[in-house]
Amino acid sequence: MTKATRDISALQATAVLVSTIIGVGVLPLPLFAVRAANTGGPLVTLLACVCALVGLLFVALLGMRFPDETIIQYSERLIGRWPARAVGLCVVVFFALLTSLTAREFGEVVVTSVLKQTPVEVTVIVMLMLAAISARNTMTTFAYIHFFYVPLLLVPVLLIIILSLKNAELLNLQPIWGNRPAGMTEGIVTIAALFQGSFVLTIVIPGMRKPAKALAVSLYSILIAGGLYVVIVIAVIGVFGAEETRGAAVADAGAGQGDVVASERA
Amino acid sequence: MPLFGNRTHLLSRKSRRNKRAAGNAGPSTGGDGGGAGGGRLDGRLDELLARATRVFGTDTTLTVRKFRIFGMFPAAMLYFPNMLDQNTLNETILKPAMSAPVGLDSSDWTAPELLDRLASEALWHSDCRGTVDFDALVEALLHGDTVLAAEGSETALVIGTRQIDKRGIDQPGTEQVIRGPREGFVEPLGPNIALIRYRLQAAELRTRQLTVGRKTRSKVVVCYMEGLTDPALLAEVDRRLDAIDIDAVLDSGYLEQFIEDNQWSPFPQVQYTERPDKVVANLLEGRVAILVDGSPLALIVPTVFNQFYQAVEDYTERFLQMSAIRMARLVALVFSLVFPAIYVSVISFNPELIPTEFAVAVAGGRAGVPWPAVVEVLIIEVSMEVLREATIRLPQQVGGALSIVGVLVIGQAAVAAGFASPITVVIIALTTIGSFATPAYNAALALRLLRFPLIIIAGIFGLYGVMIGLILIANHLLSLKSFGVPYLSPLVPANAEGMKDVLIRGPLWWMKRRPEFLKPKNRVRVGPDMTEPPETNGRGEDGGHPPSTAKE
Repeated sequence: MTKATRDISALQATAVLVSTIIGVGVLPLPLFAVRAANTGGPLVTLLACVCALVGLLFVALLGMRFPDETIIQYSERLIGRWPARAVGLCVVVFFALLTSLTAREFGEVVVTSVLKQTPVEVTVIVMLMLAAISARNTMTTFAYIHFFYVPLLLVPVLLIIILSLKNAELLNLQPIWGNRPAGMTEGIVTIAALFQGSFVLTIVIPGMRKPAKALAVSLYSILIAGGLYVVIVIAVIGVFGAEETRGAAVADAGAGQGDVVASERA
Repeated sequence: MPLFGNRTHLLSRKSRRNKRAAGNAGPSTGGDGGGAGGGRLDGRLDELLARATRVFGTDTTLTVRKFRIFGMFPAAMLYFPNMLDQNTLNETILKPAMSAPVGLDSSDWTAPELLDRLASEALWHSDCRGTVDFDALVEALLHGDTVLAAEGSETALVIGTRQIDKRGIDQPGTEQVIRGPREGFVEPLGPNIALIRYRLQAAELRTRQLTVGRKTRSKVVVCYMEGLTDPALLAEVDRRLDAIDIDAVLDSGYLEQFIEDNQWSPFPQVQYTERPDKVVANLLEGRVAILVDGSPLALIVPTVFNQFYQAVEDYTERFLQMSAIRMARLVALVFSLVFPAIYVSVISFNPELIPTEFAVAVAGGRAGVPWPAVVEVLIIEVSMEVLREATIRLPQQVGGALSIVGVLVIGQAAVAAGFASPITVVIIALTTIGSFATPAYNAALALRLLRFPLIIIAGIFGLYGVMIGLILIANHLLSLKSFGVPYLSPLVPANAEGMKDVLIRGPLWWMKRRPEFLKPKNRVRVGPDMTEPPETNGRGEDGGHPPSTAKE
């Protein structure tokens, strides 16, 4: 990225992480959770958050050791030049893949729900261009942009959840450890993978005013994003019940629709 | 003799300034001024007059009045009679110079020290200074001062006699208020600074003058508060002003275009105002004001977006009402930007979003309209812009007639003719009125401009397009900076103290500190005891009010 100016506060860094983590993963999340453990979905999600937090803490600790460099830069010092470049390439490809999946999925959402006759390519290209134009800014602006959109992301989702809770049935959530705890491990890993975006922390750290706060940043961001995920899963299972959630993708829409409105962020 | 005027732009700013300080690069000697350049005076009156003639050529307004000081020493007075008050000239300069005041013994006066003694012992004028530099003389003459030179004296006196007619201090035309001061800036610099200084009687108020414009030599004054304004900001303002090199600065608007951060952005990054009270308020927040001689509009930097929907009354009227009104203004602002675009996308792509009965009415209204909604809206919008521009240019007496013809007759006739649907006319009217509710004309202009791409993209992509357009605009706003201050402060980056003055206008006793994004050196604005209104302050426990310091 551009020359880091060290202007990102801990709050902004948290916003970057939260808004990166919460993304298209919201749509299949309840399905994943229910597939893994039926009514134990919320528990699985919670454990996945812990799992993701552990991973993120490692990344944060690593980044704090090299507060002036991005992962691409310090990996050269850690494992040598060429291996580092290979790893860097992997990171780039990984994010490209993640972006393309996200764009594709949101494009499909737009095509199914809003613009029914528009080819998905058009919506995806427009979205990618929007992201590309916004990404050309400095690191600080990048943080500002995320910070600006986080409330627009959280508030509608929370509103929808709160409004939907009147249809929720406490019984739907029991037993909380699920009827088939065996599949839990797999589910935890799957859902923890939805937190991959948090890897962006390695690029944000060099721009942070106080890199030492990276630990707190990762903790808070997982708390917010993971908390939202858990609440979404609770709401979906509470309203629809585990079987119905597993059976129909309709359930996704219940929790996902608010996100569609808000999720058209860069 | 070098042709300075044509080359100064090639020199670095520093060397130019040095030259100017050395009296080399005189103002009038530039380029077409002819070969009568700078240099020291040599004491010969004829030579000085001849050089003056060479500089000013055949100009007929320059007056040379020859006389003898105390009837003994030959002298001459040069001035432009239209730029000063001749009565003052006669009474305070000519009279004491021709007839020695009573009790003054001039027998031992000699030519070389003549003017110096004249200034200190005889002349009744406060603003006198001697100069040995010919270019300084020319500059002073052009400024409207009087030059007094005598045979045998190597210095000449420059007497500040400038008096330009100005219009009276009047209500500010573009920023009227119901409650608040009625004074607006006028064109000359002097009264404007007086208007600021009498409101802000603080020793910390500093003015710094510089000259911009190779030909117009416009005086530019930078006002700030010592010990409050961020020195880095001040240095940046100076740097940007110093870098300006053009021939004419006819209004502060010229300067704005040279000092703003992003010339390609539709959003203004410098605020202008003709209200001295607004300037004072901004100075006290830690901003810098820039005034230009000949312009009734002061520039204020740095500027953030929320200033454009704040009005003076927000602060002079009580906070509760004004918070509500400010939000109404914000709604109007959003209206003027997105309303037509949303209309177009709902009508053309998602009519299911409006209630069926109303949708039927809308469809009925649009039945005879030959074009798609986006074209219809664009046509009406463009005609609205034409009408609006026409009303601004028209003489006032005709303006009223045109707006009636334009708005009522054309609007009605367009609907009757099946040219546009009634609902479109309503939408456009609301939009236009909404854009008038924005206090800052230049910000309203920006939103007016952005409306058009938004309508077009709404016509192509519907609501999705509107979202994309809004996100692009928001991201652009987030990337903008005005003199290093993020444009959306204090919203992003967030500042709890600053938020009290964004959506609502918090009570004055809430806003204890100056905005942090301006990095003022002294942040305290309201005394620590002003936690609540005096009424409850004294009462203590018996009142039901807890201290209202809570953040919103």
